[in-house]
Amino acid sequence: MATKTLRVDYLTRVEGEGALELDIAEGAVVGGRLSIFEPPRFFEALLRGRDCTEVPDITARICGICPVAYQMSAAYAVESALGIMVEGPLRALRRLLYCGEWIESHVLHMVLLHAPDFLGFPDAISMAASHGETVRRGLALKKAGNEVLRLLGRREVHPINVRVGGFYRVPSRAELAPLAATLEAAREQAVALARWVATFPFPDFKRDYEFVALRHADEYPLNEGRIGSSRGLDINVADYESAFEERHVPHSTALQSVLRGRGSYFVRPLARFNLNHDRLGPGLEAFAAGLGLEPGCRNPYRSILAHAIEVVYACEEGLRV
Amino acid sequence: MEARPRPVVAVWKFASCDDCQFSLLDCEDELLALAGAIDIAYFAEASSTLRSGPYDLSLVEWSVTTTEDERRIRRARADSKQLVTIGACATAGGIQSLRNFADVKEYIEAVYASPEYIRTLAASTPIAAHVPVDFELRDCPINKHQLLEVISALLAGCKPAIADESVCVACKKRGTPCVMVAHGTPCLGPVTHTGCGAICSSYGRGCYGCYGPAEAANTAALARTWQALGADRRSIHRAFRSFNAAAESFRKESEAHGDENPSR
Repeated sequence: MATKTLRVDYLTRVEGEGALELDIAEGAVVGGRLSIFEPPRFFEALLRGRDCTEVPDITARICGICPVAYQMSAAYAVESALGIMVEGPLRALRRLLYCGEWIESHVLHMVLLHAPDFLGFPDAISMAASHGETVRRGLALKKAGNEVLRLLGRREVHPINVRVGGFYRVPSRAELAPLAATLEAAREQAVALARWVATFPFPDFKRDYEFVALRHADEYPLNEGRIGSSRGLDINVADYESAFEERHVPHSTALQSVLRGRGSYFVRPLARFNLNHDRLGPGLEAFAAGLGLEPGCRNPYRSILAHAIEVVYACEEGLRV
Repeated sequence: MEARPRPVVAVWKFASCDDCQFSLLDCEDELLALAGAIDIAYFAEASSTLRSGPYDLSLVEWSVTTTEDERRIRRARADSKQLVTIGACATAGGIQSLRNFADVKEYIEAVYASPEYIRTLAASTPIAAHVPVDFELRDCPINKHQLLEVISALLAGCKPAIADESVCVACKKRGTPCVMVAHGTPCLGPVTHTGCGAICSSYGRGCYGCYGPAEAANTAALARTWQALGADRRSIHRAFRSFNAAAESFRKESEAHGDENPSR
């Protein structure tokens, strides 16, 4: 049986450097390799010996699109080691900061990176020629997310205001007040963006994934909760290594994470939505269903809808804070 | 009248966090106008159309850490009329240059289960160590307004108007009380190039050196001031050894306060 190998040397419109090889025999894919050739930067090694207060500033540099995710993970890890719980208004402001990042980062992903695939454009700039209003709306929404980051983090990328134990400086009530109007307007734009995304042609494709995400007792999870899955996993974050294994394969500088004894799993907004849709509130859950995103969705193409719903959620949660 | 052809621009990356190139996409108000003024021919993280050179301007966001990088940067240089490095990785080696002070083999073993799969150089080096660079835009991350200034100026044939001052000067101009004098907070502002707009002091913390060394920075005098404020040798060592650890004056000052690698 002859096997053909399709190779994409450089995957575009994704963050990080990667290539993909697919082995095809008799019209079916029989094997595949995702090779991340992004050179290693050795964060795990270079963090050794640093002061614990420096860690959030350093881990931010893992990714310039979602630095808050790495700052929050680092701050929570250090606080957990020190036995500190950040609660009350400081915890709420951390949620607000993270909402800003969700808006900025999810919209970048949806409008500038992912949408061109559905509509057959090489990039968002050429897409803007015929979808100008939508691209401009996306950019305005992204800007709103960045405004939240700029106030709470003092700069949009690699914020300087995240500190073990809270913030270096908490903005005043008067500084925070204008964000309400920004987020009100952003919510309207997010709803419109979600409706636009819902019109995309989604291939009819389903896989039997195990979805893994944080699950919190009473809120849609951002920073805290237990690690849950659609097949009954329910563990403390600290027990991560007992349930997950990170493997090193020859063709990739990125470690591959699997559930011990079960194999690969699905993360990010679609997984979070599937595990936490009942924490979005009845209005937003119904809105998602109206767009064609039902709990238990196993179509990976529809993950862009889960991104859209989370952007609306981030605006609403930001307003609540 | 025939329209002038738009300048052809390429954006390159390797070992970096992607932010500096995404600063282009962060120009929410300017992006579509910018895209109308320049022809972005190669920007893998933003477009699946990748056109080969020559390019009028290449923006390079990465430090060189593999032999493949060395080959690619020479190709980028050969294909480009002007080449600009953006950010601390491309200009000073970035946070990953901490390996330069350690045993890279030990770093690989600390992170990877199968060290034999990893091919990397012993040091993370700036682009200017490999090819001539027309302009270096520093900071971690770069300031998007400065990026727009650099692109516009170079394509117009001018020198970019990037102020050559320390963070300290930016604080004084704005009237922000000095965190070191008023609160005794150690700050790298006197020896760090500005560009961020002295943001840390405005939020009550000391500058931690994202932009890298200012021109003629007196790092030794600042280290003495830190000592007087109670900072120990190891803190001073670590302060100079971060995102711009491989920049000459920061490297020397960190070595003056112990050459032990903070990662051990």
